[in-house]
Amino acid sequence: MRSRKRKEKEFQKIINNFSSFIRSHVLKHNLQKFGLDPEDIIQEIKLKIWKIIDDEKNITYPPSYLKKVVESAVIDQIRKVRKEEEIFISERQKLISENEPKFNPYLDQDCPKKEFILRATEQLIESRRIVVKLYLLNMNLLEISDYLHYSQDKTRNLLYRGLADLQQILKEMGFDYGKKGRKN
Amino acid sequence: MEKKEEKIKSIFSLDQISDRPVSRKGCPTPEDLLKSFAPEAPFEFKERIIDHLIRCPACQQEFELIKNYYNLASQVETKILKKYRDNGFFHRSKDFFFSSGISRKLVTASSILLLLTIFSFLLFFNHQKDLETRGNTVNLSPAGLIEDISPSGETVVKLRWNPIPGASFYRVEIFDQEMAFLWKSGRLTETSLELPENLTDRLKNQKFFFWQLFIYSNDQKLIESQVKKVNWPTQ
Ligand SMILES: [Zn+2]
Repeated sequence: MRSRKRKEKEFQKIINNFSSFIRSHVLKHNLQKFGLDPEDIIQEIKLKIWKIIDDEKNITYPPSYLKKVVESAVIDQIRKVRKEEEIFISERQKLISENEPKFNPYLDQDCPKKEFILRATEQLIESRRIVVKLYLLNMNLLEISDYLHYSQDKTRNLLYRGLADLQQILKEMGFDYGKKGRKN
Repeated sequence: MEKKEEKIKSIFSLDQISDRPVSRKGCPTPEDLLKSFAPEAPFEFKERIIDHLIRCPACQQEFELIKNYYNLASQVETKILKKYRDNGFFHRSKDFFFSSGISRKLVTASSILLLLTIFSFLLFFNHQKDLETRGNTVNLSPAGLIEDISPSGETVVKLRWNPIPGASFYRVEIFDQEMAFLWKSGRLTETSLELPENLTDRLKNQKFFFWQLFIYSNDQKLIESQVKKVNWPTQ
């Protein structure tokens, strides 16, 4: 059947992109140590989605069904990692002596620039603030629009003005862009 | 100007974050992170989540994961499913009508109208039915899916799972390593199943295979397990 082949090809293209994201995500954050195997995740999600696509009667699947499948897969992953993190932390806690100062790498003492920018962000007009924060969280225009349920024009407008304001505020605060992005 | 923006953004980049985990007490639940993507979620709720994320790289990482999962879903939805929904049976049957040489326009028009009514009724009916069965599909996790593979001699694969309260019967589906559907069991009331010999022989040619458990409960709900991957034991 030609339509099946076509669907297969289209699906493969989409899933390839996603697969490379999952692989790099797992590797970048060293999630293998929590037992996440990128290939398993990809296989599972591929299998589940393909079943929906391949169903000739897929007209009977409400659009929310695919969303549900995807949500349950991502929830499973996050839960698994969080559970393993807890185990890791409690094991480590046993090794660290009580009076040793607690070092929290997720806090930003070691990244004053980030703290500086955050303080500047707080000075933005409310409607521009959240858009700028989402931008800093690595979301693009389309993703921000979807997330906030705004039109793209509205988002673009708020983002550009917000970023211009932010730079002005940073300038007034004497912020040094420097060379970096990295800490130390 | 753009360079400056990129520089600011790079300071928030996840690449710089140490991978040493910290306690996640006080972090939003994964469900809340998901919920923040819903269009109907209140603005204040979204804002609270974002304010947390921007200071919590661990949650930021999960947020990014969710974002990409949603991107995947919407791409599949718009590029594949929607297209096929739009080009489904209805369009084909319309083509048939126009090419079949029925000349009296009135008859054609009223036939189409009649068909439309029937189709929309069928669609509605299917959709309703769908909500009863698939609408209630929940994922079972952790499913407690276990497989016993005889260590030597003739290969025998036995699948078993924990009994699920309220289940009226189960069904097992088997998929090959390329995720192609291979086999479906009948209705099972036991909580274990030995795979038929000819199926096991086919599976042995695969590097690994997958199985999934479907639980049918008394009140018509269908529960799907996670898909379980099975590697052959190394000899
Ligand atoms: Zn957090």
